[in-house]
Formats: sequence, structure tokens, C-alpha cells
Amino acid sequence: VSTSSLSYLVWGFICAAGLVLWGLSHARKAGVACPSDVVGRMVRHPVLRVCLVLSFMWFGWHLFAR
Amino acid sequence: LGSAVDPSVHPMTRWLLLAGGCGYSLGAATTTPFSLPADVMTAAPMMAMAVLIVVRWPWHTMPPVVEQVPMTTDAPAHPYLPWVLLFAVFTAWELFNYLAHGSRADHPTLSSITDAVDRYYPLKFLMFLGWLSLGWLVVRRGSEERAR
Repeated sequence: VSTSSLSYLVWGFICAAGLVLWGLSHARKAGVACPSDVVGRMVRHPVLRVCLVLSFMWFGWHLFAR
Repeated sequence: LGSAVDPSVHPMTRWLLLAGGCGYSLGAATTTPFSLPADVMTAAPMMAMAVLIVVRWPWHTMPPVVEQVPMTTDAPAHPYLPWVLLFAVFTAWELFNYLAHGSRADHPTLSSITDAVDRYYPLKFLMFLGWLSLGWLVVRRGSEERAR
């Protein structure tokens, strides 16, 4: 297995894990908070809310503008 | 997208938001990075978000509401923990690939993967729409703090 394939495989696992968590969060019995609740929890924290907004802006600028 | 499925948002508002977001993303996806149109189309939602945050968010946060839920054996102990762990793994893997010796092809970062995705108009449209939706979700959830 090449280094490149292994790297993409791990990225695939991370992406799949995110999708699984997203699915589990909508089956409320699984005990996983849904993404909306995670964001809701973060915006109630004085430091995390600033980090969240700045991260959002940085990602947008980095991905689409520069 | 988050508002599109949120039952607390009026149906007409929901569809208007979705249509507006799709239209804007269709336009933004046509721009090329490192160009003035790309800068403008990306900066405009960021500025709108900043204005909405100043207008709609409370200046001080309040502690999370502790809901009076009856204790049951299947109550989640740490509902946020799986997301925290996933974020930790994501960050560690991104940093490893960024700092690893070798070509970017061997150690792709999120940026290099999204650069490849950006070459396909439908995928770039979906990425931009997802970014806008996340921004709206952040603004909306922060605004709920003031409403409490």
C-alpha cells in the first residue's frame, strides 16, 4: 500500500466516522448530540464562540478566496 | 440547509433561505480563487455574518440550561464526546500531513483535497452551500441565546 493510498484511506475513515456520528445523532437513542446541538453548546461558551466564528471565516477565505 | 429542515423556522422563510443560498452558491462556485470576484463573493457572507452577530447575539454568554430530565439507564453520559474525539483525530491527522516530509500527493491535507474538489463545479457549489449553511446555523444558534 502506498503512502498516498494510506493517507486517503485515513481521510476516508474520518469522513465516514463523521457521517456515522451524524446518522447516530438523528437516532436520538444513540446518545450522540446532533451537530446543531454541538454548535449550540459552543456558542454558549465565551471563548469557543469566538473560535467558532473565526474558524468559519478563515475556512471560507482559505477554501474559496485564497 | 440547517434552517431548511428546522421546524421552528416559518416554511416561507425556509424556502427563501434555501433558494437564496442555492442561488448565491451557484454564482460563487463560478469564481476562481485568487481573483477579485472570489474575494467579494466570499467576503460578503462573512461581513453579513459579522453584522448579524453584532445585532442578534447577546454580549455575554449564559451557562448551559440544565434540563430536568428523569435519570434513566439509557440517558447519554457524554453526548458531545464522540464529536470531540473525531475533531481531535481530524486535527492530529491534518497536522501530521501538513508537517510530514514528502510530497503533498503522499500527504494530502484538507486544503489539497478541497483544491481538487473545487475543480468540479457541482462539488464546489455543494461545498459553498454547506459553508453558508454552517454560517447560518452558527448565527441562528447564537441568536437563540438572546431569546432565552
